[in-house]
Amino acid sequence: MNKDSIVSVQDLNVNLMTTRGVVCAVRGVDLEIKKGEIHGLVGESGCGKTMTAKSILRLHDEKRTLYSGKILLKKTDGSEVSVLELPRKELPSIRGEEVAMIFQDPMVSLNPLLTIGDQICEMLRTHTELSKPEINARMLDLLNMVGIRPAEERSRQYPFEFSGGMAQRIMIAMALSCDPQLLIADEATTALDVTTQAQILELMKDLQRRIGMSMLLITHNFGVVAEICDRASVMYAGKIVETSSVQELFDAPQHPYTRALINSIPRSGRSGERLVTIPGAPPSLLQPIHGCAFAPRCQFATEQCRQIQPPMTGTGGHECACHLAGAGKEDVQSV
Amino acid sequence: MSEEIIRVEHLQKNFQIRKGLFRNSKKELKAVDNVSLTIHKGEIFGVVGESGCGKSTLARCIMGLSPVSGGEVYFQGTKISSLKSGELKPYRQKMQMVFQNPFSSFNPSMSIRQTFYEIGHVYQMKDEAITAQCSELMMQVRLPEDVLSRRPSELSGGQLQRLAIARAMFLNPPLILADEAVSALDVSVQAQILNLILDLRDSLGLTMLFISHDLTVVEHVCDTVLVMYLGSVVEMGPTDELFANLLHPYSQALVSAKPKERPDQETNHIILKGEAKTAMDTSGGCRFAPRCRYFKEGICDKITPELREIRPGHFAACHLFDEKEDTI
Repeated sequence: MNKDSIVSVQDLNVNLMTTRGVVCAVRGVDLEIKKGEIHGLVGESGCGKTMTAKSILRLHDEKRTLYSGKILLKKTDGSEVSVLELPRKELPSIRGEEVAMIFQDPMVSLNPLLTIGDQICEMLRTHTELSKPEINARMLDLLNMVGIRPAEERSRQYPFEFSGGMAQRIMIAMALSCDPQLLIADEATTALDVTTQAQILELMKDLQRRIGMSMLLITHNFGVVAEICDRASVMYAGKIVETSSVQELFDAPQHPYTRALINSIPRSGRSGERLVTIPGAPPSLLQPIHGCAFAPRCQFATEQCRQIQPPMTGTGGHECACHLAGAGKEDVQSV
Repeated sequence: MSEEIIRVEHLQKNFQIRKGLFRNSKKELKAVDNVSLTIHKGEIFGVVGESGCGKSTLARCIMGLSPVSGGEVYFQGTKISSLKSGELKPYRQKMQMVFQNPFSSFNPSMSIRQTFYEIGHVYQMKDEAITAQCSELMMQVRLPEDVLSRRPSELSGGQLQRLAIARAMFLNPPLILADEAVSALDVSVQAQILNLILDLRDSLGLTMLFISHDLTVVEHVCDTVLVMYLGSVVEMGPTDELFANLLHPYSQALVSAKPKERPDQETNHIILKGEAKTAMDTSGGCRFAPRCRYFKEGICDKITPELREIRPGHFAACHLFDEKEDTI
């Protein structure tokens, strides 16, 4: 594990037992999240983004999930733990305290029967040894921090009295209540309107800068990545195909999939133009995949691509899993 | 100007909300407030706005799925807003809808062919005609014909959304209403569907009312755009003109709130402050006033602005343009 990393995921495989067979949802993911960075995890639905993130907290139903590989987490006190080997009893010491997670729909993440103040206090009671008045003061602090004012009055309200954007702020307040080192935001702004999304992204960026925590931001929206991430990884069919700084990912994407994906986004000022599409569909994860998973849809695929799975290669923090890294670069429409 | 398909005049849709212990305090919620628009043949007409601004209610009122509280809807010159549901039947086949989630808008126990046959049988089409129409449509939405014998669960989201468009086109309706038709799709699939819509407009002269919350998508496919805020129209105009010269402060905020397209892009987000009025608020004045940067006391909170033509073909409802020299 690197010195400046907080989480290091090494060759993670997650297999899910379903009635239709074993789904290889994550197939050998390597991911390093550095201290104080916002790392984006992008990809289309079903590519394993959430599966990877949930593994960091071991949130899967372990009766039906097989993990292999390693997830190392550096705790606040400097010690390193291997999350996948941790006894179940010790998991609560990681969840919430070291790593917190917020989900897409804030309304279903909140308990409709408790006031939001109670819900934040509950979190503090479980994880800290603060006294009652201290807990109350901290709760009001948190609400103020995420911009819910007047905090005193609004803490006595129930979730239904809040709009979606406000509810997502409460989720963020709750996630930050125990000063986690890593915040995982799983499509946290996807369900929100653009104006609200802009507010929440602004808030997350601001808080991240002030507290200095790391973030893993899961999204399918490249705009969100461009907006706040420092580095990003692109996933396809359970594997990371490209990791680099966000600037480089947009300037010089190496993997044909990343390139096609970026080119398929409609841009302003180009109305009526035809967009680049990716022929075919992602492979089924029920069957084993030979070679590069993207090969059947890739216009540059060769025999080598269909036979041998490409390893992650590259230098200077820009890595890519493609035999032909950079092939067809001239196709990239620079904007 | 080509043939007119839909003309909506001063459309009003109110919902009665009952509150209180015995549900005895009645309140009126104005979901759609004084909306007028005209859709011409071969035009993709976009409606944008945030959730709850009345986009879908507007579509439902145009379709006749929900009775209007005021104003008129004309379909190819005939007034349809006052018709009873039985009298509406011949018009229903002329307006078809495409919904947001393709997985929930198909019957899971029917094959795609059965779904198409059902529509055909409702409108007394012969079996041969239905079969012919099916193959024709599969060609137009670029799907292999064997898709017809599959069930929805065997198809991907992109394929199903193509079929949803094919189903909407089955009776050759003069108008298709697409309610957030690409919002649930991944970008690569969304690109396919947007290309398909543009191709169909160019080759068949498809007319569409395209509802979306995504500004970039609307800018990409629509010819005319209407921006809604809390039930009323704040700005309307041809796409290129509207996005090049945004007039209303709300449209400006909405466009500026879009995430950047590239990391090195300069952004100037206008973050909306204050709480929005609710659609139940019946006090006069501009509905956007409490959040507006250019709020003028005594005018914006008192007088409701009218939609006026500020530039050729480009309408906006804002007091900022009351006097000609007083522009932003």
